Amino acid sequence: MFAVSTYLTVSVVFFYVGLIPDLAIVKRYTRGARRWIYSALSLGWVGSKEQWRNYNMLYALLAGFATPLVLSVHSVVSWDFAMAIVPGWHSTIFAPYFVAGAIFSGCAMVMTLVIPMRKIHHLESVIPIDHFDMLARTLLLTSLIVGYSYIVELVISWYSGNVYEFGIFAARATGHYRISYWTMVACNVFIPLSLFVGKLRRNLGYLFVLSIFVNIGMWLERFVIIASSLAKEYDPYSWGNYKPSFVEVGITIGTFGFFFMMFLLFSKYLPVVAITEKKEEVH
Amino acid sequence: MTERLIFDNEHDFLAKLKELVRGGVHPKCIDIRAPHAVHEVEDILASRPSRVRVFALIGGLLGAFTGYAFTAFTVIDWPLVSGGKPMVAIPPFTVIAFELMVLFGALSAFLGFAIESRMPAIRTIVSDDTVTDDFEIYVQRKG
Repeated sequence: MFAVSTYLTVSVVFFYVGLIPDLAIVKRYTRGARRWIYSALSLGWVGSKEQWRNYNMLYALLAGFATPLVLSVHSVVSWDFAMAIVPGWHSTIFAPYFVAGAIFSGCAMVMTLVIPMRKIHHLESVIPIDHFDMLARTLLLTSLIVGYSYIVELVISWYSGNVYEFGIFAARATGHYRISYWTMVACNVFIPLSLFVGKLRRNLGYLFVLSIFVNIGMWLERFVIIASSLAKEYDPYSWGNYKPSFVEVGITIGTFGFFFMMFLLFSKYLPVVAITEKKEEVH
Repeated sequence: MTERLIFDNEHDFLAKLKELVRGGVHPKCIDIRAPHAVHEVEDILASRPSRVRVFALIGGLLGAFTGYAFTAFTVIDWPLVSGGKPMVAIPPFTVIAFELMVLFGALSAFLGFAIESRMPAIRTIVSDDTVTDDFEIYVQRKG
């Protein structure tokens, strides 16, 4: 709880601080009540000597705070699983596995959102294709780490000689959840391997489709980890396969809807690209 | 008396700033308005590093201390001994201490930024002035 709420709070502060100089610019282009709101949110930014000096220091500090925070948060969340003695969760690879998975799915989600946004807002000159190339490289690297983690999990459970530990992995690959499992492996490990081809890394249509597959794969990863381990816990009497009820499906769709609504509101009311950073780059 | 100089590009702005400082104007009498961060300004005006970092340090240390103190206090207040393990266990408490260090550090850095930059500046918020694309220099001259 500490980890996740700290992550949220620090991310919001980081996001807001980055917006302050841009909100002052937005004020210039608005009228009426909106102008008041942007003016208040920009906290009276004018771009003076002191403001820029403190702002640069704050931004560097927040970046320094946020980077180890990403590692710690995803490690802590993974330990919530790893500390349990449930077969399939009790593994030391979980922390790096979850950190890599978070960066992996994060890169994919950025692609899913930015590729249509770039087209709709005509930001072709602001977000060059090189950025997507770099993003695709990060995606490929983290995909390799995630793939490696899948292999390590399987091999260690076999090498341990523990029949319960290996049993759950065998059940994941061949049992009731085999379709989810192999779809996950295909989406997260095999399809991203195509990014070794340089041309595909610069093909936005391809990247968009790929990023959707990665999102599906990472969603299924969580599903497989949670559902398949709980389905075959300690006592065979309590075994049972999980199937989402229609209420649960509704909640899931609702969270997706809420997320996209927030994103659309953001792209309607706030600058989607850091204006002052872009200006600094151009000058 | 305050003199106001306006430039439409960064190069002329920096050249004039250097000229003023070399001409003997004290950096304290100079203020600027810049549409984006210009890192050379801090070198020219020989500014001290921002005090925001002191706020971050104090906040971070306070957060780490709070994290350890909070966890240690709760286990001592309601002791549940299991397996003869020590009550105040430093390694797992470090996770909480780290999270609170980041949280307090980031929040106090933001607070420090607001205090040091005199923000929120009510007068600017209420006024109709806006930032422009120009670079400006304000020079306070005596007399």
